[in-house]
Amino acid sequence: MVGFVMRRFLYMVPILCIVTLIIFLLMYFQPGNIVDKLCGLSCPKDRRVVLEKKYGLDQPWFVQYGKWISGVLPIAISAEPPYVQFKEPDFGWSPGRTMPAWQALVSENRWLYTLLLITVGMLFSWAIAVPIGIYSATHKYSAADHSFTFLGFLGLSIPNFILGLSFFWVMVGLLKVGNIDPFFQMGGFLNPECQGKPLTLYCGLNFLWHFMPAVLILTAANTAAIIRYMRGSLLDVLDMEYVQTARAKGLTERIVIYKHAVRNAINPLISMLGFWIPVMLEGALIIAWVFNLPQIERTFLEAIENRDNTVVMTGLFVFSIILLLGNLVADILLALSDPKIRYD
Amino acid sequence: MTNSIAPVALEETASGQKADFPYQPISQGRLIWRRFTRHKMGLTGFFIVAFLVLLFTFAEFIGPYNYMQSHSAYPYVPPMITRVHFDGLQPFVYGLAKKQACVIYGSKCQIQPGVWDYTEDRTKKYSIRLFVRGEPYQLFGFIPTNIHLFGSGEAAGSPGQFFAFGTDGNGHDLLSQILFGGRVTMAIAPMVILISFLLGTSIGGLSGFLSGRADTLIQRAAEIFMSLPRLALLLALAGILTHLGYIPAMVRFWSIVGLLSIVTWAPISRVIRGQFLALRESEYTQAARAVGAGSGRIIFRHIMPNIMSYLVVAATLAVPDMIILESILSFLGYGIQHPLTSWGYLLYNFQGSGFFFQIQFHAWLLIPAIFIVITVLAFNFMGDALRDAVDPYTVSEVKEGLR
Repeated sequence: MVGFVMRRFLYMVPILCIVTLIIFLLMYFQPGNIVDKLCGLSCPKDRRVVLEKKYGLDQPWFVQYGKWISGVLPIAISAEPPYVQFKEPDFGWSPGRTMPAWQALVSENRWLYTLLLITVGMLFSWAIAVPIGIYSATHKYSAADHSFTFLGFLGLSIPNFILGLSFFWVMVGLLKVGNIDPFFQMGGFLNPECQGKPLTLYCGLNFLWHFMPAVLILTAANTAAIIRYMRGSLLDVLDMEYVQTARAKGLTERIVIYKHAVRNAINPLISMLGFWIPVMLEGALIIAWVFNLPQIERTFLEAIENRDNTVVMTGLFVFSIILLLGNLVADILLALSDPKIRYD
Repeated sequence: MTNSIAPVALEETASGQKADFPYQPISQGRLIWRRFTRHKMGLTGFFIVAFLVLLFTFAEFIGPYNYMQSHSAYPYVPPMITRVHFDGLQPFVYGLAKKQACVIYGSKCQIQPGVWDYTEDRTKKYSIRLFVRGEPYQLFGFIPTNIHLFGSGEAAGSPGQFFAFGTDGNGHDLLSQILFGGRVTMAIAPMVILISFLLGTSIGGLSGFLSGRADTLIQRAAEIFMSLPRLALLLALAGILTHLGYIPAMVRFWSIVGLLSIVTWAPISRVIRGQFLALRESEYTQAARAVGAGSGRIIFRHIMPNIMSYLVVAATLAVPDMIILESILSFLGYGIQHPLTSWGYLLYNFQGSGFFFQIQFHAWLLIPAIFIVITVLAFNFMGDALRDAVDPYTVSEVKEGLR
């Protein structure tokens, strides 16, 4: 098992190399560079040359790529001892934000918000979806099952950003919640009066008011998918002979379902946990925009808008890493949950 | 499977000369169609899609205005579909009367710039007629005419306008915009799917059929493409496109198609490769090889027909994904842009600092979103029904494979 994980991990290295190359070339071949940004289009020739030299733009692309990638690596290799040293990854300078690109992407705890949104979303969707899936499977073709199936279908079909827009319309346009009390402001992560203040009960509740709708909308599709899989998987398991045997032994229905059936039915779902991380990231990209949340994704979108290439590269790099790690986790969980998969 | 014969009971045994023989062989295509038509939701989806396609084909004719025509006298008119009155059977609208609206802040009523209050001018009646003469356009791009399916038939400045779904800030008729935008949205999805399926089928098919080193190489390439974050990459690429400056509308359209194909071909090719791998080892392929059939004959006569139905299902189920991706792209301002329009681009009204203003006062601009949802639902229903019809035993593998 350890060998399998190690091999799978090492396998990521060449893929990551090519992925970074693609990201780099994407940004390299587009018109306009950091000098245009710093010095403007009517830049005097000599100053342009100096700046290009400073940022290494006068060198061929593979040298630039090598420089970028060695900066990105968190390890520095040198000729004298200690040969290998850990260092802070350097993604280059962001002229738009006048700070290192990495800083620009994650500053003001933006990474924390992304992490919070995704983990809470994940937990939430599982906590809602698994019981509903079990209920649907055990009450097959009942009215509740049909309505959950229909809701699930809606959840899978309505895009996140439309759900978000409609939510805002209901809250702002129809209910006019902002008029009821300033507590119920919409958009952002906190009301302005709570930003940068110590956490009080008021601000804690206000945080939930801003945060939970985003989580629920982000996970709508996810929840619907889990309900579907859980229902299908449990229905398959309930047809198995060992479930019949358990019933024949005289176990109560409760124990048959929760101890025998659900445990086996949930296995394939767990293996898909890693698979949903990239899906969540993709959803978070839109939710960050619609809900005006200070996340990594929002910085990324702003960087695209402002042509802040180094930040865009950093963002793509980070998202690729998360995607690769998600795939890795998915593979490992699949191997763990399915004994038929061999590790070698 | 294409030539297989399935016995199905005749529906009316009394009529026709085959009455003494209760079973009749029917083709696989008929069988699939019969199963599909039995699926009520699927059939509903199919009819919705067919209806929408019909609407969008005749967008200029059905839309009461030209989608680019701005009626600067009438910005932000709310949907007038609720203001249609009937004089017997003859529908009519009252003339529009515009005045500055005041919005209540606290206890005071303040004038809010950009918010208009439209009341009905009861002294003027304008009947809504069929086949009225209105703004000139070219049907299918070459038949010059000015006949629209319905409308009030009044000149541009007249108060007797009929904006069924209202107008936006420049006085563009939303219904006409939706019809034309629907055409663009509905054109992009099949284009992307066609391109990425051609790419995916040729690459994946080749990979699955050749196997060995070529297969490994192609699979690694597909894997790398799948390791790139789809939406983020798409946005970055489209961002570059947007920053290139002025691009002719059609070039932009095809660039968007190309970009969407780049991020969608890889998973498709993988799925198709799997199918090829399975079918390559099947008994009938071996039999074909044994009687001396060449690779080309095996691929096109034996394997392709058998994965065709699978491809059709996968393509149908991929359409909603494409529509959503295109909408997101245009919504964020990196997809379709003026002078073309699409449903996502119509939602661009809600972009940026005007978001709360628009959503508070001009909520009808969200109507394109309803169309996106309806179309996506219809395609999903249709795809699900097709999947069940093509193969009643494998449920829900197609869509998962494409994710």
